[in-house]
Amino acid sequence: MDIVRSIFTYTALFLSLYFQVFLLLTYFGWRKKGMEDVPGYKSDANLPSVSIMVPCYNEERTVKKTITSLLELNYPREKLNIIVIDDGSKDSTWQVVQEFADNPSVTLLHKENEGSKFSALNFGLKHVHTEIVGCLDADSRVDSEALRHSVQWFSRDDVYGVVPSMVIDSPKSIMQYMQKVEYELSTYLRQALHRMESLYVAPGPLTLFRKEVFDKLGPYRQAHHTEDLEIALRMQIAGMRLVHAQESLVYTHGPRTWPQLLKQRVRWTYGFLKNIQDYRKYVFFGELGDLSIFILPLGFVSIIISVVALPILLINLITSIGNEAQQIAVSGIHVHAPSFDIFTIPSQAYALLGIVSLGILIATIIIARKVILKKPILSLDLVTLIIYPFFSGWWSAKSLYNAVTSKQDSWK
Amino acid sequence: MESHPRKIEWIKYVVTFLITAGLFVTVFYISRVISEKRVAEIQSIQNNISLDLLSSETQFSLLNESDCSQDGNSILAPELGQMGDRLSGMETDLGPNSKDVINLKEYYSLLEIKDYMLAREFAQKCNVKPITVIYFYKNDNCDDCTKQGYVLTALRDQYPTLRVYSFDADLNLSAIDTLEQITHVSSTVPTLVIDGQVYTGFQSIDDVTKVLAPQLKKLQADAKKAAAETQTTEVIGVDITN
Repeated sequence: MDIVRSIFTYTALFLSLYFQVFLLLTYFGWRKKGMEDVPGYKSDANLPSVSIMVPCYNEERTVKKTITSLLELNYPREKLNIIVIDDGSKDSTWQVVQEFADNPSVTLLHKENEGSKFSALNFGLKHVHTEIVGCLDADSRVDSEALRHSVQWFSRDDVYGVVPSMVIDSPKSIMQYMQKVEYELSTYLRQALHRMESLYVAPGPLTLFRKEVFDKLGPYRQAHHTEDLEIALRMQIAGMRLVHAQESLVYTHGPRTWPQLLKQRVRWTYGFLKNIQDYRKYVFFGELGDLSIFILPLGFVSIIISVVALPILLINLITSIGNEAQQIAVSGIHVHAPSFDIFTIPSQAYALLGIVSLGILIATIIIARKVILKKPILSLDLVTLIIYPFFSGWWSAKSLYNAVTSKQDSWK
Repeated sequence: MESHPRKIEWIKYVVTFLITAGLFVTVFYISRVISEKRVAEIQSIQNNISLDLLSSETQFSLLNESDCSQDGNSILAPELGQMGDRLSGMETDLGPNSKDVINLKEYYSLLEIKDYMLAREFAQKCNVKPITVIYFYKNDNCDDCTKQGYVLTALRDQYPTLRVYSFDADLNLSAIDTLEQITHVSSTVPTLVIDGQVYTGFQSIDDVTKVLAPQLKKLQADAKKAAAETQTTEVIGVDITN
């Protein structure tokens, strides 16, 4: 291993381990004061009224399921208003949602498409007259208890926004299985960020806000097609507490194919890079605590690491495959009986550090699956963790290129 | 808009750093311990081989003529092949320029030469043909050497009693230079010496098998016989006549 590659590998491993240890310390007790459990509302009569906006653009296949899942929420019907916003769909979305026209809990709105989701949300906000407002993408559905879990947090006056746990709904392709594992692990990350008061994304699927947030901070902004990240940063800057309700489950459909996933992730990563550029005075030396000095800078550094690691991983993969292929070509397939002694244990420090990192990752999987999501720990889809770095390296590289050249893709 | 100043718990960052640094130091220490244990293990195997060779040599000299009913391989050091694999693994881990690796390789090469000489002596006295392959290679810029290594490993897997003596031509060892002169080997690698014949350049598994065919057949027959005698069901080798 040449010297440059060694320096990069060990720096990346140190940062990765540092982050993993930091999250574990945070999760197991070293949390911010005031992020303890929520008292909750004493009775249903005290529950706040909620509006949930459903922006739709060409969602004829999924919107009905989304609205139905909202109507099945375990929440007092008179306190729930669903606002469906057809954002100038070119398909039959508007016709499909007419099925709910007579439902007193559903309000149907139509507007011309303006090329970004934030305009549909702002259009919907003008029709919100409840204390709490949220949004649900039309490709998502909610667990019937999700709203009740999330809303409990608003019994605290200092909480202004509540983020749910997101789960990939009915994965079918490899890309979706890969996202399923990623989303499960992100519930742990989100819970740790919650405990550090450092949540910096208020994702589209069922993040709830006090209406006051928009009254005081203004409406959503275009924010490089990542309005959910920008509003969360604005809230953090304004000292409006954003929390994570880990029991609140929202099911979303991840992109099925690689081109679709690439497009989505480039939008997210590009949005992150551009937003931290816009809010750069809060990065490193800002007043947002851990978010300023650690989470946002590390987010940027992790993108750089993904990009640099990609060619190294690809070269290693191609070399390994080449060597195996050459060996098979010249001498056929030989299966060696496995043996375990001092010579079969990896001895290189980077390999051993990789094993330590893998051990912490397994602990993360246990926390995410067993403790937060109450699911079995082991499943075959965990093998997708092996291919994840290749794909994340790819979308990070494209996003970085787009950010440097200010080339922005469309949002959908 | 007014920001919301938050207290940063620097102690948490320091503790995280100490834990992470502790993990790094521990891992580097374990890595070093494993490497040292490997070197010690190889040295121990080398000592055993050295002792085995000396013992065989002495036994050979004492008797003046060996008991030719004895299998030639049984008088040689059986761990030599296994040790070669381990040394090759260490070379990959620590790099070919590691001082430990170079020292071990030099000693290993000397043991190989000694083992080879003993095998030749046995063959001459008992009038048998040695089933050995001498292999000269280089680590740098020699793709054919990598391929040749695969071929010889595969052959040794098939015929465990086939003895392959590998020598790094870049190793600064006069004994290797002398062996090269005796066997009339040029500086080209890979080079194989089989039954006194020099084969330069990559030799496929079929090429080597063809050259060794009569001896390998015997090896296979012996292995079958031994297997039958011990009433095991283990199958050794394949039919090379096909």
